[in-house]
Amino acid sequence: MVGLAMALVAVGARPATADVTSDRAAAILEWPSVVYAEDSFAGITVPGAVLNTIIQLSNTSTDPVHVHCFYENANSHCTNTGQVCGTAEECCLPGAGCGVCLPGWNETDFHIQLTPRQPMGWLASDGVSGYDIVPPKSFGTFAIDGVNNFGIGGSSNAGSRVPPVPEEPFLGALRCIVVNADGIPVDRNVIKGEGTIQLNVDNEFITVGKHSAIGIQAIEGAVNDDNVLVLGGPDAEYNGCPNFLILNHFFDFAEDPVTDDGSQISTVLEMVPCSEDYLRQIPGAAAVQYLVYNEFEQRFSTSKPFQCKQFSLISNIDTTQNDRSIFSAGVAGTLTGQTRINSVLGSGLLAVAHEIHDEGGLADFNVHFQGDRANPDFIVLP
Amino acid sequence: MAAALVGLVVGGAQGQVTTEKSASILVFPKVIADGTRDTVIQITNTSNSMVHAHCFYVNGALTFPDLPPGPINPPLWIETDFDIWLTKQQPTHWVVSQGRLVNPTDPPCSAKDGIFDCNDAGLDPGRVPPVVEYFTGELKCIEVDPSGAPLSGNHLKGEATTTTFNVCNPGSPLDPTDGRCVLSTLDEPCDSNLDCNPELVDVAKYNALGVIGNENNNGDNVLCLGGEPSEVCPNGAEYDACPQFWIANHFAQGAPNPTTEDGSVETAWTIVPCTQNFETQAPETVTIAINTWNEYETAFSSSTQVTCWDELSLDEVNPVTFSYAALGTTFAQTRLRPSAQTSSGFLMVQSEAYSSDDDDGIIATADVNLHIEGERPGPDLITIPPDQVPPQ
Repeated sequence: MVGLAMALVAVGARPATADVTSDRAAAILEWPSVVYAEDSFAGITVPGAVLNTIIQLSNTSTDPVHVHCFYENANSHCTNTGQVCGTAEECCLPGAGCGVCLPGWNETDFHIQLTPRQPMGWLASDGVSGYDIVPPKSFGTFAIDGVNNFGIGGSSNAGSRVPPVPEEPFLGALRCIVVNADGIPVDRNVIKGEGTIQLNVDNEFITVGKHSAIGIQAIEGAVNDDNVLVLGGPDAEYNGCPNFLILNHFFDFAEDPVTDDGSQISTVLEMVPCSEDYLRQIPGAAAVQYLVYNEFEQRFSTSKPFQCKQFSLISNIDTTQNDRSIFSAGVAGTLTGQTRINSVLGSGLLAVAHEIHDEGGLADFNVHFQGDRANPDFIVLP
Repeated sequence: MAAALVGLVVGGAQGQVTTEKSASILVFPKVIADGTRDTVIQITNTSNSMVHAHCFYVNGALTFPDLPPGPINPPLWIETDFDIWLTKQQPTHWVVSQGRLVNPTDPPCSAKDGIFDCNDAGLDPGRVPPVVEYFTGELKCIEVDPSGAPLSGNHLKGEATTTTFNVCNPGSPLDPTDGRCVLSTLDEPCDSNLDCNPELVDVAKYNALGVIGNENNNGDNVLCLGGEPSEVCPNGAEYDACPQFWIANHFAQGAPNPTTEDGSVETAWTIVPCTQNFETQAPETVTIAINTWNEYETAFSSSTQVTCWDELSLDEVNPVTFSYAALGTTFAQTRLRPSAQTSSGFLMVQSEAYSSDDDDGIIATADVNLHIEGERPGPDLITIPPDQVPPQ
């Protein structure tokens, strides 16, 4: 009978549900994609173009909440000029030789206090400062100053300030962690957020992509008061990062089947590590395996390590010659594919995807998750 | 002891719908092919076994699409069903206006100027019919076994990409001069598509909503989403419950677009009931209670009713409580739930339209999945016609 009971338990078993989430409130939120650039970005120059990110954050609970946020600056810089660079060529000065385009990573942190149910948002380029206590509220200001107006129970946004991202152009990420009034992480799964990437060229062309921030839920009662947050593993304080990310995508350079007029589709994958050491300024790193399936059930695979952040056309993951990539429609041989992404060494992974249609502009979406990592990830706070 | 053992396998509702994990029921609430928009469906088998699915298109277009909804102009609620099957890890796609027919001689990808036309290449997933000419509705795919019995495999994931064309939307027959180019804010009427810039196209994308299946699925034609064991659901929840709350972060209706000087942002929700009876073809109606908070923590409330399917701009839900003038802040948080007397939960996705300039600009769209909280206590039922599943 015991055997039968065990068998029945096994039949009734569900897949592990302690995963990260993009459709439920959480205690840690990650926006893997925060960008701001004017006129040129990633080696492409478009005069008059502004690429910016609208961050939305809200408190889903009926109690105030404090959050501690970290902008992660993943810009590379020239060793000779200090300028932000995307390629080594950008570090060459006429008559003075070339420097090295050195990958970088540093963080800027700030605090926000949200009142019950309060939504807010800001532009990555501008941040939020000051107060406007009379509606209509000016964009880029807080609503409740705690001096002239108050929220429920005397709550307010007092002590909050969001800086603009530290550089232009900026390529990075944002992570916010729920803390108590003393700045100590707590197990309250109460914040949700979204990121909206908007490209505006002189108001004559505009395109928008929107995705949900990725949430990592705290395990009730497990969060201690130290500065090391443990994600998954045997001593987990928060849910573990996913074992697999699953990306459904069009293969790059596939013709848009709707417009069917020679315009193409490509996909940019933005990926960040789960582990970050903000104390010693050590970014997470991972060796990533990609299993790619086309519509013939044929499988390809490739691997690539990254540190800090990966921002790449999928057809640049395995080669610099896009048309020879396993992510290219010409090589894969079908319009769409499924890619399973797994960290085989190092940190876990979080990602969002940007789909770029030649004619239709930008569409963002969240990737799917499967399973929990066996090993923990760590976020070390200053 | 027996009761205890049964209790072990009678699944309680342990989760809710998901937009990020593989599931046994996929719901695409917003599938549109009406001349102004078209939709690409992507579905993937995330397992190493072959997966079958029974899919239903539900056309929620109004009987007379150009006229306002009302008792004499109800939604059509016409369903068309078909089957697909996917080999291990196979992704597939189709354009809903075109469907995807089974043709073993489909041409391989052909290249022209470095761009590859691959629309038909790959293993055809089954005979997917095109939708009718004016289709505004949903797609629902239910994982089944090879015999057609519903199965809790949790092997399906999907996405929908909506392409919007800058065509002349003719407006109301009551006011033919009301026609406007879909992606333009210029306040000049259009008579035909020739009046609109055809090069202007926009895309938006969202993840299909997944309902995770539990292991106690009895494979009959009544799918029980959440709830306790009952006469109609002897095993209790065969699938996770529909959410009790949907949480939407959104712009106040007409709030300034923060990246422009003169643009604005508008939001719409596409909503479908969780309960559906494909046997009786009786559309379900849900009444939705809505609470909204602005950045001053000021609360507003409203309600709306959806029968079968609807795409509602916030103006249509309530012209006052969502307006920028009333809310007074750019952002708002809204919680939506089925009202107490409503017998069905609902599923939804949010769409946003950003204009570059309200007087003479263009419009860009974005879809986004919403957050959920809690689960409905009562079951929602999806009833498949009994002759579409094997006899018990």
